Amino acid sequence: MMKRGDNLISVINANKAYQYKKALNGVNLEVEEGSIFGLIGPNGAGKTTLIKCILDIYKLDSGEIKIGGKNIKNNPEAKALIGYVADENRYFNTFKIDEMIKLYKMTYKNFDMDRFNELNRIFKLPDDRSIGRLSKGMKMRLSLMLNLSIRPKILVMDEPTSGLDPIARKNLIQILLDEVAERKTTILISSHNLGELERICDTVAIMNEGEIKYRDSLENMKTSMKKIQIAFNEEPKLKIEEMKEFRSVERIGRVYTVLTKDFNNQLISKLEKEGMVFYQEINLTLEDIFMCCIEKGTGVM
Amino acid sequence: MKYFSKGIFYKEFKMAKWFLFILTGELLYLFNLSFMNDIRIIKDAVKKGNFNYDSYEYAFNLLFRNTDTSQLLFIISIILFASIMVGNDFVNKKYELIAALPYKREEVIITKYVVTVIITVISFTISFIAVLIAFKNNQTLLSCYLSYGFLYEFYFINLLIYVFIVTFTMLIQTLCGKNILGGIFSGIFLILPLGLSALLEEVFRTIFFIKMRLGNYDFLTSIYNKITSIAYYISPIAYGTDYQYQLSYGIRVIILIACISLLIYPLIISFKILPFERCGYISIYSLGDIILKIGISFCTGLLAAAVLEANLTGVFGLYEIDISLVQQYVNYTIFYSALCFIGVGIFTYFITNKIIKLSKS
Repeated sequence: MMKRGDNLISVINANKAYQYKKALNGVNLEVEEGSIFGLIGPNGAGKTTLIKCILDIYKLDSGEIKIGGKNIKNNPEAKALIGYVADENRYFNTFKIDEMIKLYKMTYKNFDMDRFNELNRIFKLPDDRSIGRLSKGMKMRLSLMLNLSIRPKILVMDEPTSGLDPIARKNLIQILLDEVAERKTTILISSHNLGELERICDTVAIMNEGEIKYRDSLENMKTSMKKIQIAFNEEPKLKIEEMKEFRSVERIGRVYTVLTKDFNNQLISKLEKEGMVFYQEINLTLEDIFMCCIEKGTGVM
Repeated sequence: MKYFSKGIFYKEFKMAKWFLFILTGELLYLFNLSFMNDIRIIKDAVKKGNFNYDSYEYAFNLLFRNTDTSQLLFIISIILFASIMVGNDFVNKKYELIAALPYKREEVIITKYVVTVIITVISFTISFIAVLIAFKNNQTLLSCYLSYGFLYEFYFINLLIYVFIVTFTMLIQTLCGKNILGGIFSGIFLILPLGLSALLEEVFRTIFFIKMRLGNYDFLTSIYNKITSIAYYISPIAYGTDYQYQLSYGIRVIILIACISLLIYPLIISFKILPFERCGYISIYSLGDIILKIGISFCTGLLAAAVLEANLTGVFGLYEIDISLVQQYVNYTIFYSALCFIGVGIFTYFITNKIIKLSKS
């Protein structure tokens, strides 16, 4: 029996290589039950490969993935816990929506038609239309509705908002938040829309070059990391860009915007000696952390 | 352990049912209609009083004892059908949806296999029942050509051949990442022994020619006949024909059942370990790449050499020139044919290599 806070997804030393590229390089990751976990990274970082390995679409070269404590490899019981909303939904074009529902009903014993109808009141899809005639956004809605109706313990979503209009996006976010609040569903989302992720995720992992470069809760990130704006009345003698206390430095004229973990009195005195006339803590965003992490090329925290 | 899934059956049958109509329609239109037409012609002949047994024997032999065009088209259709049943999910990465559903891969492929076999068997059985009805209604007229025993034998051996073709094609398609390509390769592999023996016959023709003109023909003929008979023995696709080299009915049935049984396990394993990320590759595994490159180069080289040899035989006028010049021109023919075999083989190897690499990029 899993308790809230137990790891529902465990990725243990996962390795996966394609012909010319190592897509996953010793990835270790744990996702707690009832959390909304964001997976971010630049294109080609290995996010989709990781997701497909979690779903057992791709086989790992080495390592292990456990869902609810069970190895996912060719394991229908473990797979039945997961709903998967892909970036491009590859449904069978000749199927009608009601036939897709029938397939899902035959496949998932938990499929809840009432839930589907309830979601359809929000997303409004005609059930007699064939999949081939649906737009990208409509296919995404259908995928969301089907996968939420199976009452999953884990919902894995790869770019779920792509193709959705702003109203559908807003509805989706609310549905996901309700899903976690009411059913303690664990959600793993990969997205490039960092603003949206920041609004809903409690934990984030940053991937690059097949590795998890950083993983922490958003709350921890924001307490441990500061974004400071510093102004000098004249050119400082010290090269601010090269100061080891700063993880990232942006400069406009004599105003610097820096990311740092060590903004203390000692550092303030040091900067004042260099002619600092003004400093101010500004709002740190997930995008700042992401940019800093990717530009440095290593785990920065 | 669960090996069959209702959900996958629903999904596969939804697509495959169209093939049931196509395959049945094809057989009824081409095979049964041809059979009915033969019966009608015989009826007319009897009515007119000019019925002659020998005149119609050929037609029935063609339908039931040889691979008739209708059967050939049916074989091509079931190869395509079996190939599509596996390969269709490779198009637009539909395999992602199937693989993410809570099914074991064994369940998926076994269900696909069962659906494919059911559709093939039903379509052939419908056609056969129509043949039986036609035979029953015209038994007096046809009893000199056909019997119930013969028809049941015909049905059973052909059914096994079709199931063998389906199994073999599905296995080859799990080794190829592109839809239908597995069907093309499987078609080539199925007729490869027969095709190679025919090509070798062409290439050997020059050597036969020397020996024939020099008087030692029987020895080479017996070698060629041996090659042909081996080609037939190892081509279960030809087991339905009444060929001079054919094995006995019982042995053919045993070989077919053994082949089907032996192919099912590799089919399941091959699908179970199939790396879906390689879908789109011409060949999923690197060993397949090597076999393809060498196989295609060898066969294309042989084909080019055979065509050139056949043409040079005419150009040099080997059948007309003086016996003293034959050896010299035959040497030219063999030399240019060998050169063509090597040149075309190497060229094809590089082209195939390039195409395989492109499929992976």
